[in-house]
Amino acid sequence: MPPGLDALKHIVVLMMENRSFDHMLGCLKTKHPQVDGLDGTEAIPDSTGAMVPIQQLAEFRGQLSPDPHHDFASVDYQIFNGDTSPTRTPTMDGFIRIYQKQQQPDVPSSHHVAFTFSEDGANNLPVLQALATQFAVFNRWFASIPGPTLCNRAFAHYGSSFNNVGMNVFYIPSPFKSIYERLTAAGRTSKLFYYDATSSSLEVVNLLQNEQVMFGTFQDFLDACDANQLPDYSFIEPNYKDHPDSNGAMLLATDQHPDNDVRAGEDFIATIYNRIRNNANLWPNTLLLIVYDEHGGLYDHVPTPTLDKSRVDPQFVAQPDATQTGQPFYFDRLGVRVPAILISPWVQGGSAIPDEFEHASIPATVTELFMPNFDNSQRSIREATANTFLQYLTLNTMRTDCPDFD
Amino acid sequence: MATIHKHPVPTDSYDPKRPLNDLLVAQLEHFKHIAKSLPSEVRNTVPAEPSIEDREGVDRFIAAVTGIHVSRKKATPRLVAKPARRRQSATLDLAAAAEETSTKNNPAQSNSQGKPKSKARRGNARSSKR
Repeated sequence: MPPGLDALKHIVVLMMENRSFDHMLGCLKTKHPQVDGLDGTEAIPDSTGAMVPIQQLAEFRGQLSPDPHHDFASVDYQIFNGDTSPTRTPTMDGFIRIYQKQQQPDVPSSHHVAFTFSEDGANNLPVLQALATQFAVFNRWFASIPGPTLCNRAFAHYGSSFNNVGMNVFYIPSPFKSIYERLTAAGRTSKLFYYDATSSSLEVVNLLQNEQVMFGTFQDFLDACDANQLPDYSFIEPNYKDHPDSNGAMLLATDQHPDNDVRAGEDFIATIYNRIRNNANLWPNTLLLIVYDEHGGLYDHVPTPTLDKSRVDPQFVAQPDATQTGQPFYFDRLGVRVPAILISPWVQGGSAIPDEFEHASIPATVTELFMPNFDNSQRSIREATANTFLQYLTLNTMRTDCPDFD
Repeated sequence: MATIHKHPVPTDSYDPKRPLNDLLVAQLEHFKHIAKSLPSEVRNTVPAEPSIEDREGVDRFIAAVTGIHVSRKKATPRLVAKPARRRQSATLDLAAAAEETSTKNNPAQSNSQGKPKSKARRGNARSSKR
């Protein structure tokens, strides 16, 4: 067994909000050819048919209001550019056209969904881009569903969204359980850390309502790091909205959801990384995954994959009234590609992972490490067949050249 | 390796009155849903359901419902203290033992009193789970 895997005691997952891979990291390809990003020739049509180039003109805030639609039907349009034929293939060129429809009458600002950040300009992302180039970046991590936040996050917590492709309230059907409940039953420890009571958690219906012991605040996470009492598995939710703390201090949203300031999210990511990196008792035995839940209506060039039939749960189907496309959805396609970075001193620096991942890979990996004999009949086929990422802790010697952030 | 500098975040990025995005609207709906299932005496302590335009009201509502649920886990240690109360009620224990002795002599009475109690307990536990 590789020494990094042998030493591994903690998995920490930070799930951010609503940014596509190319939007955040596509610019890296120029200097880091291992990254499956943009080569500068990409363009997609607007509603007149004119081709609009993908440009490094994204700003930290102020460009994405109204929030680009990313409900199931809108994402379907973004991926297939309105083609509903049975033989359609993903062309990844409907992003501007659907945003123009949303912003009637047409305005130039609809091009903003095709803007990306840069690596060297004033609009670079020093934290996320440094982590992507100095640890391992996933070149093919996709949202689990071509749809919005809550159904995608469900895959990280339950390995499925069951029949759901939207933001509606739903309950987890038997025999499925959250990864936190499974870990508890196996005598392991886990916590879902929400930012604070005002931001709170998105997992209110199935978890906060019933399983309060599984929750902590972000401050609890920081304290657990300092006290060397991190659970086996931690899942962190960012701050979803600007609000004052109990002393009136300004707390900025850190989730990077459009149109929240991306720099606040960068600071949040660096805080989590630094807390683990600077603790000699945690850094050698903790794996940190930073991943985004979905693309938020923003451009990405990689066609969304269709799943092999062996990966599809046959009992789950979203009906046409849920998809709003006129067609049912059989959970046999993934959503748009999102940024995902694997961080550990045992990961090869500057590497890119070519295999296909999705959010079901998160509970699958946690299960592989902490509950290797788990009964597959108690989890979804999607999760049981998802790729896992422990094998990328390949180094024989722990790295000492990892970045620090101020 | 040199330290990497983050971008400073300007204070004018802060806007607590920014309209709720789709995610926060959905989160509010989920909180309204679980607030409805709170026991009425607890529900009465939660602020009235806010409109999505009322940002401060939304913040207060979500914080209150979160606080109620999270405080439940803090009740757990008090349950651990139960044995102390038991020791104080030695006479009740003796009475219960006497009752048990008497019901042993009358199996019909034992069945009619014991089973419904445990079923009711299981039923309550389930309904609070889901």
